[in-house]
Amino acid sequence: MTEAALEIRSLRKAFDAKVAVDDLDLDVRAGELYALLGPNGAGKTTTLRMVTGLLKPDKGAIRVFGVDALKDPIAAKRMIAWLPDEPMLYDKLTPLEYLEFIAGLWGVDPKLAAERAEHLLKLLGLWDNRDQRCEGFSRGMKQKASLAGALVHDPKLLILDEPLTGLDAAIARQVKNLLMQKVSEGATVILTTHILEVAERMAQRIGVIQNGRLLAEGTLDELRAAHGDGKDTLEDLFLEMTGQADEAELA
Amino acid sequence: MKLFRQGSLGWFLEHELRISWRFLASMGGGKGRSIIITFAVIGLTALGLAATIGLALRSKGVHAPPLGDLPAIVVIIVDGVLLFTASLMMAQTVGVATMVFNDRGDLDLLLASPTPPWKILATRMLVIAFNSMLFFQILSLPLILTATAITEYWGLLAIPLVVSLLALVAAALGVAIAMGLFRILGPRRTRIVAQLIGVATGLSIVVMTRLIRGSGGKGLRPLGPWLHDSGLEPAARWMARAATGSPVELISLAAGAIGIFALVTVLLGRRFAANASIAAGEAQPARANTRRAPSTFKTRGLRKIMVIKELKLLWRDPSLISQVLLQILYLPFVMFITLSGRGGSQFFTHVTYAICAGAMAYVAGQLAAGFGWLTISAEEAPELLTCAPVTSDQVARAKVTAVVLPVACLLSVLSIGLAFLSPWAGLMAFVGSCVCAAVIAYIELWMQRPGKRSSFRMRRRGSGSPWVAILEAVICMLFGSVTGMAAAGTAWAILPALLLVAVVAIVASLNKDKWLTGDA
Repeated sequence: MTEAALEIRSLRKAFDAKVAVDDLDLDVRAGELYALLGPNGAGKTTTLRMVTGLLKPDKGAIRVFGVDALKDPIAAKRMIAWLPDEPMLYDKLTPLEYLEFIAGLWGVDPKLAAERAEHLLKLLGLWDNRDQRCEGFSRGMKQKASLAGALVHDPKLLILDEPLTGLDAAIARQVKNLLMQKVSEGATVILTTHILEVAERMAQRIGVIQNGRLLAEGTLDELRAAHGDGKDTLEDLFLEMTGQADEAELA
Repeated sequence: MKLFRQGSLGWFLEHELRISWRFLASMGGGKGRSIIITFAVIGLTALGLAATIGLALRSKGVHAPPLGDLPAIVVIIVDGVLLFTASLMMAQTVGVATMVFNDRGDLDLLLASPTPPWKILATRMLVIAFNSMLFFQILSLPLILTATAITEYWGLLAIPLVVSLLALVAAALGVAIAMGLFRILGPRRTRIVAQLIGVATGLSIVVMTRLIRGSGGKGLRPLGPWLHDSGLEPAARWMARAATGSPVELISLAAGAIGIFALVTVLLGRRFAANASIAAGEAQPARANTRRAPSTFKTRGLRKIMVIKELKLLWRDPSLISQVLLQILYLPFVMFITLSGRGGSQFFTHVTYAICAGAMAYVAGQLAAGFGWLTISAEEAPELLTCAPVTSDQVARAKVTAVVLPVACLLSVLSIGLAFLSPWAGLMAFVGSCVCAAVIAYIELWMQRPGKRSSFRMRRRGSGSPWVAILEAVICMLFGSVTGMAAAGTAWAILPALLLVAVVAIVASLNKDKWLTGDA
């Protein structure tokens, strides 16, 4: 049986009266790319922020590779990298200094970290900019530097929230290639995206969430079999499942 | 019905005032409106009280001689106060004038609209003038009302008007100086140099008061003949007459001030738009480090990497450094002036040392508040630290170290200087400064409010932060008292020390659990 990279059980989070995540159960297998989809305000980011330790759940359980992330958050965090839609960068640091800082936070051996940093910056086309401060970077370059930061400690579980937002086609391709490469090397990737073609092409399994609850989960074929006529695109299925099909037609 | 025509100067001012009002109203977590109303009620009560006291004194027979043709001493006092006020306003406006083209806010929107740049410049200058005079008006109005009631000389009510006119001139000159610096030095250096000019202007007042004090104990009287001999007496009398309500002088002063303001607006309006666009381009430069990156990373503990990161971020932002260090720049001068004024009995010498030690602890706290806000509240990647496999306590300790270390380094220089005169006072000053900095760093940690580094100047104006500033000022003052009294060797230091411990304990118990709870 495949090891579970992430197990979420009865997870709940409310902000005052608004329930963002409502008794959510979710399983992500090790070594897969899992796309978490949902309309705006569905609870995707809230769920992932709870997994990464940025938010405290009201109740429920989160296990990362068998480690209870709520009881032993440090051990869980060692295995996780979080990449939000807004890059977590320091404007006055260079990409290399940023990676050195992150390597220090995760306690990566400096020699190994330096090698990884060079590899990642070259792979993402930032090596020539390694001595420039991030403040002058475009959004795409910042996103790439942030992605390099997420990968420099070689996480087992990479969680990305809208990683392709605002990127041009070439940079988006680079990011997608790198994610696929990490999956092929055995890492687990969870991403949220509103670009359904990305999920359709890249994800091994897809979860659809709405009002904090999981509506459906499975491979694209499984979703088609359960919710469509077998030929539907992911967009058709998504709009049908979330009840937005009529809305989309009207538009 | 709209009060002003769309696109007019008044319309822009109305817009600025509305934004400012809503900003103030949102302070203190939305309690700003009630806070402003409370302050307004207190202010009006103070004004009423001042007028009542004046009238009561008048009814008791306390009279002031009619001003008539102003005696020399009155001219000197009135002009001195006005000069002092104008200089301080000037110090403030030069310092903030660069914000006119650096503070983006809605500037890009306004410049992209078909509004003539002079209108935007004029509005911003009026806002600067308003901010710079507000403090003096609030402070002086009760005194002026009292004096008016006693003397029954209604002309004194012209003083607030004169202060307003001086604020207009100060704002116009401040912006003109900033524009000149911008042309010569470029946007980056202008911000720093303008702040330094502001400090120098402020310091000149301190030096001037010291010179007056040092004029052989004769006070202001020798200035009378000096004014007469130098030929400045007519100008001095003209200004004093304007301030005491003489219509011709007042109208000519108003015409001059408004003329200078209008001239700067018209002449520099176009230049302002050009500077703003240059400053916008400079805001995000692709700057390379002067040193090449090392081929390997170094092994460092969390505390060390955090301190290095914070120092790098600060060092690479000269504008922030200058803003933080402005607080300490006054200290060596004030210490020098205070120490040079010592003498007489040994008792007074010890008191002087104690004052210096106390002042150092106070300044250390204020410095730590600045560094602390930058390090803790303005952390650029808080989520990165929360996601990292380190405990919040580890991060907290590393952050506090990053705040205390630069403060300790800066204050150690002054402590060593003081230790040459009094080793005990020097030691107390250093210990007091370090402990004060650490406590303030923890206050910043417990009561942090997320903000952007670019809004450092405005850090105390949003989301309840004014209360943090007041609390920090109180704690710094208590530390100053404890350090000063300990440096003087008196056991009474225990009293403010106990009060200090109580205040910090209460703040800690109320806030410490808020630090990185996960829902922050």
